[in-house]
Amino acid sequence: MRSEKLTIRQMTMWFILYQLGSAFLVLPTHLASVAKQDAWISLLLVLTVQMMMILVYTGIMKHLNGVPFEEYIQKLLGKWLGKLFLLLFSLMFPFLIMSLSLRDLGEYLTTVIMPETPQEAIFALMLGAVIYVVFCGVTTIGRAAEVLFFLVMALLALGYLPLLPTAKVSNLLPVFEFGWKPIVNASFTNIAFPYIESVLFLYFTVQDRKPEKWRNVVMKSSLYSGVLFLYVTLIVITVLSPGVVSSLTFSSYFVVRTISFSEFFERFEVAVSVVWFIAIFFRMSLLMYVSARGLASVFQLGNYRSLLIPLGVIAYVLAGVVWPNTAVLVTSYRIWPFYAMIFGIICPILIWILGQVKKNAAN
Amino acid sequence: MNMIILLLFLSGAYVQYRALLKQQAVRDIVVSSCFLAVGASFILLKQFDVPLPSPMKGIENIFKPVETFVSRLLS
Amino acid sequence: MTAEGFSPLLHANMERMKLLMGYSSDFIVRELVIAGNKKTAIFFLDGMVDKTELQNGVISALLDRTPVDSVNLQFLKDQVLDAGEVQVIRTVQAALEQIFSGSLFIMLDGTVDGLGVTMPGWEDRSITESKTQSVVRGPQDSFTETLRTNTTLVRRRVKDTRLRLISLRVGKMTKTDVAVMYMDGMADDKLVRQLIGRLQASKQDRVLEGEYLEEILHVKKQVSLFPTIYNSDRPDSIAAGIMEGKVALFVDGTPFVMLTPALFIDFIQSAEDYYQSPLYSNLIRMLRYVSLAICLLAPSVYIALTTFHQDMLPTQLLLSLAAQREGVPLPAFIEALLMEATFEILREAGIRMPRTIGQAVSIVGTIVIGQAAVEASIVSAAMVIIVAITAIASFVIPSYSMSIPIRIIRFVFMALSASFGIFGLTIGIILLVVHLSHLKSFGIPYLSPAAPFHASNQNDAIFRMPFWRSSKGQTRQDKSS
Repeated sequence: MRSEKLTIRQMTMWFILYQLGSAFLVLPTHLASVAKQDAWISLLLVLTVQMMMILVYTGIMKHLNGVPFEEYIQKLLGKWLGKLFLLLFSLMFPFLIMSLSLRDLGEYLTTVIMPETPQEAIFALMLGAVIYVVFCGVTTIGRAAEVLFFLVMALLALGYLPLLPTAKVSNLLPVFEFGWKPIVNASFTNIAFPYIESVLFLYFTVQDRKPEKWRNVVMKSSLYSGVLFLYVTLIVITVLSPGVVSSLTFSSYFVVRTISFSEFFERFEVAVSVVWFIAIFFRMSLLMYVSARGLASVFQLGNYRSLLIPLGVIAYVLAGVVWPNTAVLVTSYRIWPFYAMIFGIICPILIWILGQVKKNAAN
Repeated sequence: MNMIILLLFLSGAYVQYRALLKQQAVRDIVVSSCFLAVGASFILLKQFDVPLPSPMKGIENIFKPVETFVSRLLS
Repeated sequence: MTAEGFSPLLHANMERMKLLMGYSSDFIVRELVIAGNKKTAIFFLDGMVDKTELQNGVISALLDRTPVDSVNLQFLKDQVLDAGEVQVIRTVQAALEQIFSGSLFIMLDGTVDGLGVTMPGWEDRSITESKTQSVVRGPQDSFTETLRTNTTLVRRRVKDTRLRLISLRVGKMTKTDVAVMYMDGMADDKLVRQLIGRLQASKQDRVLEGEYLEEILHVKKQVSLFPTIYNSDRPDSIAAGIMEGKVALFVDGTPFVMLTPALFIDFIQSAEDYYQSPLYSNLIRMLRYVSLAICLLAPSVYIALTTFHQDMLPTQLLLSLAAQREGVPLPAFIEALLMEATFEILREAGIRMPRTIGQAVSIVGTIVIGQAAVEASIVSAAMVIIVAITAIASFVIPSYSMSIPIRIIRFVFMALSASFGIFGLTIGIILLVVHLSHLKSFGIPYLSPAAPFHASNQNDAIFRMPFWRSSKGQTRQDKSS
């Protein structure tokens, strides 16, 4: 088995890219359509909840004590119950999210960039690439994340810094116009997407196995991506007004289209797309890795790599099937947080409590 | 279109299985081919335009009441 | 045949040697009578020994300085022969090896053993400029085809006792002399032993160039276009590499010396980076990275923009490009493919072309054909410009072995961007980065020191620090994640 070690830097960068890869394009729209100009406050709320959940995750990490997550589950819940849990968990959470992300990518590409390309081709290309990358192993992905992180940051700066001159802070007023209810409402959607998925980070251990270091990695990456999201949301709302934002599907993309210096420096938006492609790539690799590892443990396979191609085939079909058309996206999106919370909040809390009980019983 | 892609994936699997056979990882091959069979049948179903159920539909139906409850609470 | 010795009769030995060499006309047997009555024979290959030295140092010495009845091998070895190394030879095999290496083999009548006298004197190319890697300021000498000359060129630059040299012979038919050179204490001992082990275990029958060995040196097979062993015919590059802890491999018969382990960054750096001021060198390095990007991405970006993302171009540029493409019957991808393929053909032809016609071909090929193709509306002018810039950018890369994978991957990127636009290109870039991240050169990750990133190793990675900063000594790669 190839070594699967990541440095702290690599892990942090991968996690940041992972979180960017989710809602980056649609986040401002979703927030603004509910909370209007207070969308950024929702985001702060989201980050607070995330920090609290990280404490729960760290608690689990402490119980793990170096044992891989999937083995720990089986130890905790007993062999059969643990395997059942892992099977359902892996298929219904990371694997489903991966197919959803894939579909997101396809939708984006066929809507905005290349309307004539069939989505299946995009799925196949992306899955092929993800399979190759996960096959190479986690260490390789970590190194690639280190290299590409700078490209992503550079492109983000290129796309979003020039917007500052056109930002109108007045668009943020009045604050709390509709009270706190819409703010909380909006933050619901965005806790799930992507932050609750941090439970999956439990599959990754730090080199010297100190839970505090792991916690720092997750915290740093959540804060970093949170700040990025905050900046983008603020920029989007202040440049376009909240009303416009809620009507645009891909607001973060369109806002970059408004950059125009001396009629030559325009049309940077494709650069921003590249950011999203890279981010979503790392997102899908992580999800694929986690799914394969969980499932491989259920069936007690020696190597998770054997499952990559079959999972790819299933994801290929699943991505085409999850939504019949784009309109359904909106309703699905409202339901998703509740589903995700089962895996991201309820399950971890239960696992943690169980772990504590077992620890106390053992003493 | 789908068939070509299926063929590509299958050839990839073939290469992988050859290597796995050399390592005598029987379990891996069995489980992997089960999943692969599931996936391949999905593709075949898709090719013949058989409507496949979407898990999102199921999730939607289960959580719709929760969602309406919460949004009513918060609006 | 291997461990057999000689007979005491000189005449029998002479016949035997002549028979073994098949009575070849360049195999000379010179008979002498020394010390009054002792019959002696000197065996050598004409053209391989230094004739002057033979005359003065050996034949004269043998004839003049051997008093009667005093002669035996030991006497000859210690007191008579002036020439270089003298050793006692006991087997036929060893005698033949000596002769093939440009030595003399001397036998006395009545003695079973003989003497081998090293006296190489073949024609060797003089030390000239490097043909593949030239610099503006810096040493202009390059290696030649003789092993000893090459190792000396490095020795003269590293006057340290820690510099070690291990000689081997590889190749059943060619019995090529191969030398491994490294700094004791700085190079990885395991690597040195691994290399020597692989060389000794080699079952090849011919070793004519480093490439024959390159393919057997790796323990673990990795499929990649990218080179993991660095080649150079510049002594200063090799010496610098040795002092960084790398291991150099010299092969007799070729001026190209190999350095292992080799990382991606080694192929982008040039020796000249150290011969100019830091500011200038760093700017040139940035230029090199930009050229690398251009060389790899330019045609693909052009194809992606004109096929899928026309809205990304400024309106005026778009209009003129559209006007140019108006008459062209081919889609952008085919056009690019055609032009790039043509250029690759021209490039290969340019290498083999006799010097006299070379100039004419390059003028005809590039200018006339390009111009004519544009005017015949087979390709657009913008395409010709792109291809030309790409080609010139590829020459900025110092190492030829790195430009090969770049040229090949360029075509893959073109195909990806022709089918999937900028998305395909991004995926291509990601896959390339992942592949490079996955490669290891003798255990060290290929993209070190960029990834994994250790702040202490960044001294000379992308930008070179001025020498007064790096007083701690040069950096070394390590094998961590």
